[in-house]
Amino acid sequence: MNGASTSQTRSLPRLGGAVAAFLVSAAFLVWFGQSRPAEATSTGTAISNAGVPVAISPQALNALQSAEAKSGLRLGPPTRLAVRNGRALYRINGVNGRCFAAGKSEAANAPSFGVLLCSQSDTAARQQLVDLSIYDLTRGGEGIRIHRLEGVAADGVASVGILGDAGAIIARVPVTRNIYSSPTLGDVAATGVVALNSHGGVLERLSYQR
Amino acid sequence: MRRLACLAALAAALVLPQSAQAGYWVTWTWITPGTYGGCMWYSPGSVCSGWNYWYLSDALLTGSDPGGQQGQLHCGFQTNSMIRGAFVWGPGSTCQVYDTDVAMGGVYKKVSHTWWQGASLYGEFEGYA
Repeated sequence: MNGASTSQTRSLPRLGGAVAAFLVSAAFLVWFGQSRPAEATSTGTAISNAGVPVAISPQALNALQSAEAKSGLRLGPPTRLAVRNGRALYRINGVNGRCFAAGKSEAANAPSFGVLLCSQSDTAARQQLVDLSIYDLTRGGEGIRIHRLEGVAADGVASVGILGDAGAIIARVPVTRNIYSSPTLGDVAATGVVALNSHGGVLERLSYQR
Repeated sequence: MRRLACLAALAAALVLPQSAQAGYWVTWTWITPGTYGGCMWYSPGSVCSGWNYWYLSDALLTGSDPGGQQGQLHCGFQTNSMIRGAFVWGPGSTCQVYDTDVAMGGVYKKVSHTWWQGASLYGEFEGYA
């Protein structure tokens, strides 16, 4: 992302909404048509939920172009995987990697990304969970806390467990169509998350304890 | 003379509000457990921007030490009292976190990138204001 693209982000929202959406969609089609593969290919651990195509906002276009320019990923258009608890989750496939994003759902028809995580194929292939959750630490606090819990799970992950201080699972959140999200788990002390299969077996453990 | 002063005042009014808000910070560096890079209270293994109304925390992870190993980064923002953001594993990955999405919009803060565990990480760490 460079200075020019930054000013694009700031100036476009001042246009009328319909005009801006049209211009950005057209720009995205040109951008996608010129530099994208004919069909984006899913890579890494299987996630069956392909999502539904969505238009793209100036902000999301800027974010994806930035990720591509930096990392060399060749990305396709975003699809919306789900809307849960006022949040929309997105998937962006590419030939050499993939991205996942989340943002406020009121912008679900023209996605505005709040968090965007991208990884190349070799990294993506190891991931059972793409944790888009937000974690924080407060000065003088006892440890890391979940500010917001949400993310994408591979096929076969039935639920996501929240790890407490002792490393034990203190809560479970179901995975539905590859998505986990909880409106009630915000601001909870946690040291990580685990991917669990339907029998409660641990498929992957993401520890956030230093 | 008076006309020139008016023109100068008008030019300043048009330019200053944008330049006071606009900002960009970037560093290419290794982040190891021993890195101390301009952060506040939570500084081991961290690099931070200066203070501003940053709206985007952005990182590209390109290398690790030991090579071939994964490291974990906390990608977000820092104030005097809190750090907040998302975790990403690298190398071979990017993260973007927008302040309005983590309830930190309009807050005077630093962009913060913190090595959390695993291999040390090399990359490009950026902030936009």
